[in-house]
Order: sequence, then C-alpha cells, then structure tokens
Amino acid sequence: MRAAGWFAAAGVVFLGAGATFAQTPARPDDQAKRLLDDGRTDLANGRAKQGLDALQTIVTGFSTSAYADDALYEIARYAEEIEKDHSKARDLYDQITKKYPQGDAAPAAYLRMGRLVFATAASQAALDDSLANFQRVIRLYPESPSVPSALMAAAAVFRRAGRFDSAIDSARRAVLDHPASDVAPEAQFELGQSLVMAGDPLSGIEEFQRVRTLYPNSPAASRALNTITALYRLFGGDKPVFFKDTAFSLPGGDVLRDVRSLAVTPDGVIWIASNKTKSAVSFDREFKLSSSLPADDPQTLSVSPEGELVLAAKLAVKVGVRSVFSFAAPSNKPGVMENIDRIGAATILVSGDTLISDLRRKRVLRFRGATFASIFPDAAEREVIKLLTTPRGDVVMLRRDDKSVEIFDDGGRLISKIGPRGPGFEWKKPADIAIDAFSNLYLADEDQGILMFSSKGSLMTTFGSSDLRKSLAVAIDPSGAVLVYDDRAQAVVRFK
Amino acid sequence: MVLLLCLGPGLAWSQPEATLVELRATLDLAISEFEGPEQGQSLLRFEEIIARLETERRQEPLTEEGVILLVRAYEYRARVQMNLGNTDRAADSFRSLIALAPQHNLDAALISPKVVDFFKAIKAQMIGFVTIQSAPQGATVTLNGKILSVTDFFPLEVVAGDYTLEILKNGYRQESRAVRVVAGETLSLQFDLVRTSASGFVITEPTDVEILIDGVSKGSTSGVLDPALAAIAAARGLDPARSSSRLEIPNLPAGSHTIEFHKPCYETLRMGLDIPEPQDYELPPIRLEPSVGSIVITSDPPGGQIFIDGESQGVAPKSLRSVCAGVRRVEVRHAAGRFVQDVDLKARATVELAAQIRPTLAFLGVVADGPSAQRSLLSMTSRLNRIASATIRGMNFLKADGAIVEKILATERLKLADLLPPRTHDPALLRRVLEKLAAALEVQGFLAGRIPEEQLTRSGILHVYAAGSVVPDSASVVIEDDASYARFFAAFDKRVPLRAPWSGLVTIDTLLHDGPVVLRVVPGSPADKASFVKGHVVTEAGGRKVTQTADLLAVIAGAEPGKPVSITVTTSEGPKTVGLPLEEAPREISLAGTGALSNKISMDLRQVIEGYPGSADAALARLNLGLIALSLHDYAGAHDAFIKAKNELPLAPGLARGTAAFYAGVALEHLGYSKEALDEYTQASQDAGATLLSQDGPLVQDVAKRRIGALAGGR
Repeated sequence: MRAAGWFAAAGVVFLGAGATFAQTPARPDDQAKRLLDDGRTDLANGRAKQGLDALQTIVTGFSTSAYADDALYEIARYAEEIEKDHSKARDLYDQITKKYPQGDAAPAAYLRMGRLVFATAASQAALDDSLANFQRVIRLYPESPSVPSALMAAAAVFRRAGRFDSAIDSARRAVLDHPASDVAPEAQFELGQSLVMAGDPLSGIEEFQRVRTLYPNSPAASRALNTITALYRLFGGDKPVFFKDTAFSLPGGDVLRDVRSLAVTPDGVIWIASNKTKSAVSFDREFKLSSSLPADDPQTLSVSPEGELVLAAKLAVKVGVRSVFSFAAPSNKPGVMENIDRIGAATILVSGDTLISDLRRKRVLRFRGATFASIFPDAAEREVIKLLTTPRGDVVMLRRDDKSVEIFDDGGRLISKIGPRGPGFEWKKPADIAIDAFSNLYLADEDQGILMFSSKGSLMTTFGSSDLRKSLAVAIDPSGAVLVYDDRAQAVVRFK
Repeated sequence: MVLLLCLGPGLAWSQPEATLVELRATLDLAISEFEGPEQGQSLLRFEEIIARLETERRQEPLTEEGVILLVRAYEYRARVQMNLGNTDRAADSFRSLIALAPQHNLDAALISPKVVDFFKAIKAQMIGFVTIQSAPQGATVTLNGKILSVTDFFPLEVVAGDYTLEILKNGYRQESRAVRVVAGETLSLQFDLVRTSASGFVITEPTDVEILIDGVSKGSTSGVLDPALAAIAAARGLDPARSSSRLEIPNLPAGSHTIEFHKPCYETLRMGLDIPEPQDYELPPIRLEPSVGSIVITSDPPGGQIFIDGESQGVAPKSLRSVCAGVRRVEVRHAAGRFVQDVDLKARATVELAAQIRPTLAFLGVVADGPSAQRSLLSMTSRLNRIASATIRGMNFLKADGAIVEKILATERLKLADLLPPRTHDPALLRRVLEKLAAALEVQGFLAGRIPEEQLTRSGILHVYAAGSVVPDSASVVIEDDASYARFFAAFDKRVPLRAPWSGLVTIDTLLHDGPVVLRVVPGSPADKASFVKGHVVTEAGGRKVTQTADLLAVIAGAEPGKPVSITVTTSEGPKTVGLPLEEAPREISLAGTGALSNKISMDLRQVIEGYPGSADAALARLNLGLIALSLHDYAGAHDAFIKAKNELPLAPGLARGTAAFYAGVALEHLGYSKEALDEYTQASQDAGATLLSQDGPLVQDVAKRRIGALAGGR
C-alpha cells in the first residue's frame, strides 16, 4: 500500500525563546514501518512469536497504514510456509485482496492463493478457481512484478486442464514479455512442457534447449537436459528407441533380491523395495547405496505429485519423511471400522488424498489423510497391484484380475482402459507399470520385457525382451531412461 | 542653416537620451510657436533649453546632439529677441552662439537679411582666422587642446583670443606656441617639423597581415595595392591583385628590431630590421606562404555535418584541402550523435579521420530532496561530472546548458525533479519534454542524479534516460565513493550488436550423445548448404572439443563472418569435418546478463536508425528499440517502434515484417487495444517465414495464431 509513501520523523521542533523543545510524535506510517521491519527481522531470526506479534499489531492497530497489507501478507506467508496451514493462509491472502485491493501486496496475495488452490486442484472447478486468481493478477495489476509468475502459473493450469494452446500462449507471454524476470527460466520450461503436451514435441525440445542456452545457471537448465533427453529418445527418430545401458549397474546383495518395486524421485534417486531386506533402499545419482526406509512386506513404490516417495507396505503407507499411515475402512457391520491389512498399492493424488488398493476387499479406497473418504472409482471388485498418479492428476491402475490398466480422472471417471490385448500386443504376465513425464505408459511383462504405450493407449514400442528374463518392476528416471528389475537375474537393467 | 562644428575628443560625453529627447521635443514645440502667432511664448521655451544645456555643459562637455540643440536654441532665441525689438539681448544670444560654434552661419535664404546682417556684424567683431602649413603636411593642429584641423588648411574662423597652438605628427617632434587671434585678422603660420623617429612602409600578400615590432602589434595591412607599386610587388614575386596597400609603420625608434608578419593559416615570417636614423624606410614587399594541411573525413554513419573550430565545412565524407595548420577542433554532428576530436594538423600534411558518431549524454544536474540531502548536493554534482567525463568512453559527455534546460522545463511547468523517479508523470509528457531537450541540446540522452532525504548512508541515485524513453536506467551510488559511480558508467561502454554469426544449425543437448545433436537445419542456411542434417552429432568446432550446445554457440559467436569454421560431426557413416562459412544474421537483442543499460542501448539503436535511414539495419534497430521499450513497460513507445519496423522490415524468413507485427500486437494488448492487437496478430500470422528471437527462433505464425485464439476466446 505504497500510494501514500512515507516520510521520516520530523525530528525536533523549536517552540520558542524559552528554549523548549518537543519531540514530534512518530506518525502512524512511521510506527507501522518500524514494526514491519522488526517483525520481518524477528521472523528471519527465528523469533516467530515476537515477529508475528509485531505484524499483528500493525494489522490491528495500524490497519489504515501503508504497511498493513504487507504485515498481513507476512503473516499469511508464515502460515503457508512454516505452519503449513494452507487453509489459514488462504483466508489471510483473501483478506488482503478484499481489504487492500490497491495495496502492493494484493497481486502477490492473489498469486499465492491461486498457487495454493492449484496445488490441490483435482477438479475443473478448482482449476478454474486457481486460474481466476492468476488472471486477476494479470488483468488488475498489469505492472505488478507478480505478473510473470501469474502468467507461468496460468500456463500450468491450462496445461493441467488440457487447454494446451492457452497454456503455450500464457507461457510464451511470460517468456517474451518478461525475459528478465526471475521466473523466466521456469516459464521457458513450462512453455516446453505445454508444447509437448500439445503434440508438438520437437518445438518443445527447442524450448527446453532455450532454457539451457538462455538460463544456463538456472535449476531449470539441468531438468531441461533430462527432459530433452527423454523427448529426443521418444521423438528424435521414427519411433522411440531404447538400448540397454551396458555401463549401468547397481551394487548387488540382498537389496536386489525379492524386489517388489522400483521408483525414481525427481532428484534422480533410485529406490528399490525389497522384501528380502524388508525395506526400501535408495541409490544416489552416482548409484551409490544411500538411505533406506524399513518396511515389513513392502508392496509398491510410487512418487507423489510433490515428488515424495510413497512406500506402500502390507499394513501401512509411508509418504516421504512424513508419518506412516495405517488405514481403516467401514466393515460389513454398520459403524464398525476394519483395519486394512492387505495393502497392495498406494498413490497420492493431486488433491492430497491417498488411494489405497485393498487386496482383501479387492477395492481401491480413497482416504483424506488417514480417514476413509470413498471407494474409488466404484464398487466393482478390482485386484490392483500398482497405483500411479500422472502429471495431469489422473489415476493409473494395474489390475491383476483382468490384466488391464485403467486410467481415471481424479473424480473417478474412466478415461481409458488398456490391455490385456490390442493392436500389436497381448500381455502375458503384466507385473508393473510406470509413467513418464509425458504420461506415456511403460508396462513390465514378466515374459515380454517392456511394452510402451502412448497416453492414448496405442503401442509405441517394445524393448528388453532379449535382455530381460523376468521383468518384475519398472520405473522411469528424470531423463526418461527405463529401469527394470529382472527377477531371474536379480539385477536392475537400465534402458536409455 | 549650415552648422560647422569642431568636435574635439572631449565631446564624446553623453547626455541622458531621455533628456535629449525631451529637449528636442521642447525645441520643436518652441520652433512651431516661433513660426506661429504666439511667437512670444516660444522665448520661455528657448530660455529653458538654453538654461538646462548650459547647466549640463558646465558639469561636462555636451554631446554633438547637445551642441546642435544649444546652437539652435541660441539662434532662435536671438531671432525672437530681434523680433521683440530687444537687440541687446539678441546680440548676447548671438555672441553666446558664436563662442560655442565660431564657424556657424545663418541661412540667408530663410532668415531675414536684417537679422543675418546683424549676426554677421557681431561675428565680425568676435572672429579671426587661422591658417597653418607644415612640412611635411598631415600634422594635426589643436587650439587649447581642441583639434582644429590637419595641415595644410585654408583659414578657419576662430573666436578672437589667446590660445596655445600645438602641432602633432607621428615621428616628428611636437611643436607648441602661444598665439593671439585678433578679430577680423588672419593668423598664418608655417612649421618645419623636426623628425624624431623612423617609419617603415610595407606591402604584403595577402592582406590582413598583422605586423609586430619586437612582439608589439603595430597594425595590419589592408586595402588594395596602388597600381603605381604593382611592378615593385611583382618584381618580388607578389601577386599585385592580392597585395595590400602600402602600410606605414610609424614611430620606429632607432636601433635593431625584430619585425614579424603574422596571419592565421600562413607561415609566420620574422626578420631583423635596423633603424640607424629617423627617416622613412621602404621594406621589401612581403609574401606569406600558406600554412595549411588536409583533413579527409569520413563518418559512420555518413552524412555528418563537419565543423572545424565551429565553422561548418560541409557534409562527410569530404576532403578538406586548405585547413589551417595547428590544433583544430574537428566536430562531426549528426542526428545520431557527434564526433569531437582535437587534431594537431601540420602544414602540408594530410590527416585522415574516420569519425565514429557516438551518442551524446547531457548531464542535467542533481536534485536534493531536502535540507539534509542538500548538504551533499555539491559533492555529488562535482563527482558525477568529473567521473563521468573521465570514464565514459562509449559516448560523448557534456554538461547541459542550464538556461536551455530551465527554459524548456518552464514551458511545461516542470522542474528537473519532476523528470526523475519516484515522481511519475504522464509518459507522453515526459517523452515530449525529453525529446524537446534532446533537440535543443543536440544530444541523445540525459544523466541526472537525485539524493533522497533522510538516508543513513549518504547515497544518491543516478538516472539515465535516452531521448524518447520514459523509463530510466537507475543505480544507487555512495556519494563519497568514486568507484560506485565508475561501476555504473562502465556499462555505458557496452554495445550489443544487431547481428551475430549464424550457422543455421539447431542443436540440442542430451544425455545420450557425446556432443550436441542436430535437431534441425534451417533451410537455406550455411549449415543447409554444407549438407548438415538432423541427427548429426557435433563433436568439435573451431578446433575445440564440443560437448554441449553452449560450446558450439560460443565458437560460432567468436567466429569471423565469412571465414569458415571447421565443424566435426558424427554421422551414420562416421565422422565428417566441414568448413562452415557463417553468415551474419539478425537477432533480437537480449540484455539479460550483458550488464548493458536499456537506455544506453536505445541510444545506440537510435544512432543506427538516424544514421542509416531506410537500411536493413535501421529496420532491425527499430524492432529492437521496440523490444527494449516493451521490456521497460513503455508500451506506447514500443508500439510506435514496432509499427515503423513493420513498414521497413522485409517479408522474408527470419526476423521480418511478421515479427514486428506480432510485437506490435503485444504492445497494443498491453495498452488495452484488443481489437487492434488482433489485427496485428492476424497480419503476423500471415507472414509464413517470420520468426521470433533469431533466424532459427519460433515461427511467428504459430505464436500469433495461439495469441489470436487466446484473445478471441477471452481466455
């Protein structure tokens, strides 16, 4: 709220010949400014209570000062980033936009509100809500420094919503109109993603390369290298080509025995869930053994939309470094909850909800936190042995019972079903699935190696049948390379 | 009425003009009364005029005009008195007149013979005659210090009385004598003047040659040569037509002297001069040799107006063949900027100057925001001026003429502070004022400082505007820290080229290859002509190993256009090395990471636009000028530049008409003109080969179509 500006205290005023001096009282804006500086300093130095008290004093005692919106914004940020109380943060951001629409914190508040909504947007309504916030920034505050971020965020929403032309346009605007902004590298990356999703992977590759050329020192540059690699493999020739990486090997031992699942997190760390070691073990980017997570009877590994490892064991699910969740669902007896004791797979949805495959009930169940929410997608029996969430927020299930893969949106609407047979393929023993950054599906068949399908379900290529004797688990690394656990060889094979 | 006055040097005083005007009016009124039926009334006015002028005369000598007024007043007063029958008083008036102007006579054709005779009778009683001859002639004669005439002269009327008579002539002894002039008699005297010093006589070619004797100027030659002396001049090699008249150099004392002949643009001639005795000496005619050289000037851009020592010499390129030797200030002015250099030109030498026109930055001053800031004003102003003058090399730097700045700001009711952030004004007003200032000061940009009030650390803000820009580049400096200024000014020397070496290879980095992979080859590009194809993997360029696209781009950026760069690629048939001749291709200027200043680059771009109007580079410069304005959120300025660029850029692959049309649409969208933006996007979408960023950038057609879709859908 800088319109009024602020001025330093006037100092001393000489009142008369009697040599009487009087200190002029600090003006409200001056006091508010000092409190804001103090509050920010306290928060930065870990004195949260004092900091928040100072900020709250501005909000309540100097609500008409030029700094009230800034104070409220700092409190909201604290709620979002430190307290992780997103609901509270959203309320506070909302207050800023309503009480101080002309303040300089307003566009940033809209931006953050939009991001909070988008982070868990699982429906079109939620996407529209987040988009509306970003577009308010763009339309109402065209000169705000938040505009490039809003354009980029809007592009991400459009992409999630499948409105790729709008996504491309919005990302392009962020890049072209604001080439020097801090978010320009990420906007350029978003542009590449949107072009790929729009079915123009070669243009997407060029934009990813521009991330590397224009912003070589940005974090996006190294991600772009991985993405270009993955895309070039898929679209650089007539059809995707994968070769066995003969130089690749992971240290052996028990870790590679009785392997149940593989996963690679966005930072390139490989996780292997082994029933032999009763744990999930990680290998760093140099393929050296790193940390591990104990798990009795591990079942599957997946990666949450936020990039965290999701380890599903028979009795519980562990998400990243957060707490372990066990689950209970309504039994046949009204009002009686029954523990789920045969978890087959788990995934975290964009909305933050958890899907659990209950092999005893042959159902997939949806939980909000650890609380049962619903059966997903319907009451039909399904023996699901792998659950994944796609970059778009859709849910992919590998069914053991009918050897198929079903893809649903977050609301449970069936988008497509693949297998067990189709043009050019017939699955024998489907054991695992993986999804790449572009929603292509990789199916590990114990007898046939890897079969790769487009997001629309058409077979793109097969590979590994001669290199793999029993493909039990599959995962995709950030560069699009495919990792496969060969149970017969008790080794992880990499196809690049 | 004939008025003969002898006005000595003492008459150079001036009565106040207002007084003279008033007295002249009074005299005219009095004369009209004199000529009319109320003649008697005029007497009082003549009395008044006489009284006032006599009073002044007693204090200081009258001016010529004052004397004339007084003489006429006396004459008319006498005539009035005559007409009133008061001849005694009339006689007094005539006597006063004659004492004032002894050579004055009444006009017999207009005045009654009775009065004229009366006047003559009085004059005859008062006037004697003086005639003087001298050898040689030409001596000045004075009576009581007042110049009478120059010898020899016929008898002149002088009021009878005793005088000191003096005769003066340069080089001769001054003669002085007490004389008595008797009424009705003629005093006739003859003087043989005694020589005391020598005179020299000289003719020069050319004229206007200054003569110095022992370093003291004695005048300059002038005029044209007397035909009688032409043969003498010609015999000494002078061109009589270009020679001066014979100049006398008087008062040359006996002894040895140095005589010097000096004229700008000619070789100075010095010679000895012996004067054994006081007499006339004829010096040999002098011919000075020209002292000139040549300056051959080209300017970049061409068409600059050449000035040598401030005098216009035509338009560059030009060869100036007769430029005076010596240190000459050569200036080439152009709408795009100027070039200034002091050249030490030797006689008969040729200096070649390639004048690189550079934008000029005018220092407007420093603004203090309060009494505390005021205390640092002088310090910051002097530092800024000094450090900028010493460190800015990429531009000319000058201190703006404060009067011009103040006048232009006053017409808009603005002060310098109003031009500088944080105060914001209507961009159109700011643009207009800056453009007016630029035109008046003949500069392309401005530097100004501002000291905020109440700063703990004494710091100030520097602002740089290009003419036509409305958003400055700004930087904070510590007022007492010279280095902080110098760091900012270092950015003024950065230039960003409009074109860069270009291969047409579009490569990407992957983890699958040892070097960048060719994703596509731009049709018609050097790489296309050299048969590079998709899938080639570049492993070496310019003799250096290449592992990623950045390595390849660095080699290409550093290559000389036209000179082949060796590129080694891995193909399906094995390695292949090709000498790839690069082209210079246009590109959009990116300021990211260059440390360059938007406004400085704008000035450079305007230089290209003004310097090479109608050229491909000018069109490209306009496009980039628009992009810089766009990045500064100056959408009106950006739109103007893009529209002009659109009209100048070709319909061709690469950065072309469609590129400018697309960006014009972007600017219009920012300005809120959606419909007009849509029109521009539509035009852009019809330019099939146009690209953004560079020759191998994204196709405008695709981008514009998406923008059309977004606009049409209202997003």
